[in-house]
Amino acid sequence: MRAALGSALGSAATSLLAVAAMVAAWEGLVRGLPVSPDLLAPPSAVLEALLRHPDILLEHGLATARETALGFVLACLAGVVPGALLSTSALLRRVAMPWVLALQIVPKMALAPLFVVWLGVGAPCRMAFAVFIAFFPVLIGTTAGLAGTDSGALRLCRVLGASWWQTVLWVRLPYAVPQLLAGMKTAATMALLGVVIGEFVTAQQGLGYVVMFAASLGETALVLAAIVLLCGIGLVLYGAVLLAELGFARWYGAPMPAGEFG
Amino acid sequence: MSGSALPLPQRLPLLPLATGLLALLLWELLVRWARIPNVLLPSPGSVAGSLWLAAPQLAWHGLATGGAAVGAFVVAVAAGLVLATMMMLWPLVNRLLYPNLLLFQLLPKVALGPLFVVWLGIGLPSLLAFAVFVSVFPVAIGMLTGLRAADANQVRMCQAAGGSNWQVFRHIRLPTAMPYGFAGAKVAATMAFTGATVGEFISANAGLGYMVMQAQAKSDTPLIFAALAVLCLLGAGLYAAVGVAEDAARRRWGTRR
Repeated sequence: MRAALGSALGSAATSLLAVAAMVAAWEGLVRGLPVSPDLLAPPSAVLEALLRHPDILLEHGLATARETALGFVLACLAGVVPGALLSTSALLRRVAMPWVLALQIVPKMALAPLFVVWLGVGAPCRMAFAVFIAFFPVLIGTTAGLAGTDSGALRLCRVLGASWWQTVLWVRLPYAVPQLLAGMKTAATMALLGVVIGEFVTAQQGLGYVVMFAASLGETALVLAAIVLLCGIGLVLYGAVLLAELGFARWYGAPMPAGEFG
Repeated sequence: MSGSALPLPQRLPLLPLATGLLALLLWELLVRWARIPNVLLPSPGSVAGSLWLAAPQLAWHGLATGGAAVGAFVVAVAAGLVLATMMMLWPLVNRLLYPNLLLFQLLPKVALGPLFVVWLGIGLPSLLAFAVFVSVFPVAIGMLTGLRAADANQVRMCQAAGGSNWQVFRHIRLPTAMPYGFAGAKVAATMAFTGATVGEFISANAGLGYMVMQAQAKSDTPLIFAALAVLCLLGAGLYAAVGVAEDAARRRWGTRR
């Protein structure tokens, strides 16, 4: 555990270094080459934009963060409950899964305007769209995790006379949680994406709106500042799921049954 | 991998098709019985009518979006393959690019759309560039994962038998990576259409995304549904084409898994 944490920290340090190198190269390139700062703002200008418009960015950032967090929680619920239902019946899976999968093939982010028609331009529209975009990985994680429990473990439970509830609580659930959490990680990114696209389409408030507005004014630095904040929101949400994963691993107290992480 | 526990649609998914038809029928009946206004939820019949009436525009705008998406998809797959190969062959490139790739994977890339308009103006170049940007990452990461997934023993065996780096790459790494690459390409197919459409939402003068926004402004919900139906069909078509290519490649080169 500790060694894993250490190597994780080490790789995080390498990643940070590489990202820092990219930022430095970006600053150097923009300064060295005769590029207009309106076209590609250097990192220093982005920082300045962050400091210059704290009120706008804070107000819209909080709106986006609130809608993303709520959308994420709702998406998890909307994924776990039907996912658990689907895992109970093979017939249900045969009927519903092809449609759920078909929904993933189509470019469903393009369906945002429909939500505007149904729910108007307010927060409910963006949150509903975020749920629509983000529930799928959670659903798949839940179904695959619950249905994919090691059959040997299940047979052992039956032989030992475990009740249905005991099997679910102590065998199926621990098997499902790693995949559920992997799905939630994807859902965290997707929920943010859903809210941002919703903000593009509704053009009412939020960082997506700031991005659109600043881009139309040619204020590249402000666009990038808003995107930096968006990344921050995404990383916080992703980090929260990561923490939940660590907490679960500690509670479980053994290597996770499924090896699929990240 | 327990993901294979999910049932994939077999040859002809009769049961889901029947459920789908039933759902359409219920939808039509619900709209008629509850007198739901067309603006809110058009009945399948009125969407079909809209499809029929607006067929020429739908075809033209569909061609614009489809062309941009397919073009972006081809470029993204090529670029993703080249990137992954370079990262596999040269560790330095890998160390420089990999963390940045992962960072971009976490970043809400679609939010960068308006920047492409600032850089390249309204039109095909910015749309293409944006769609490529959105769809290149799944290919690159999938392919790289695949190239790295090669059995270490096989690689050592090949090297011990005097195989060159190129032979290891061509005969061991590439076949192992193929399913991963195709999985990435499938995601990229959907993302290319997403990128093209979202790009058209932001600003465009043609394409299905543009048509949807116009129809939304006129509250012509049946037309929104019709345009989205065409879009979904096109997206599913590209996805299916990747699937066919994958089958063909597997039969031709017979990969494991």
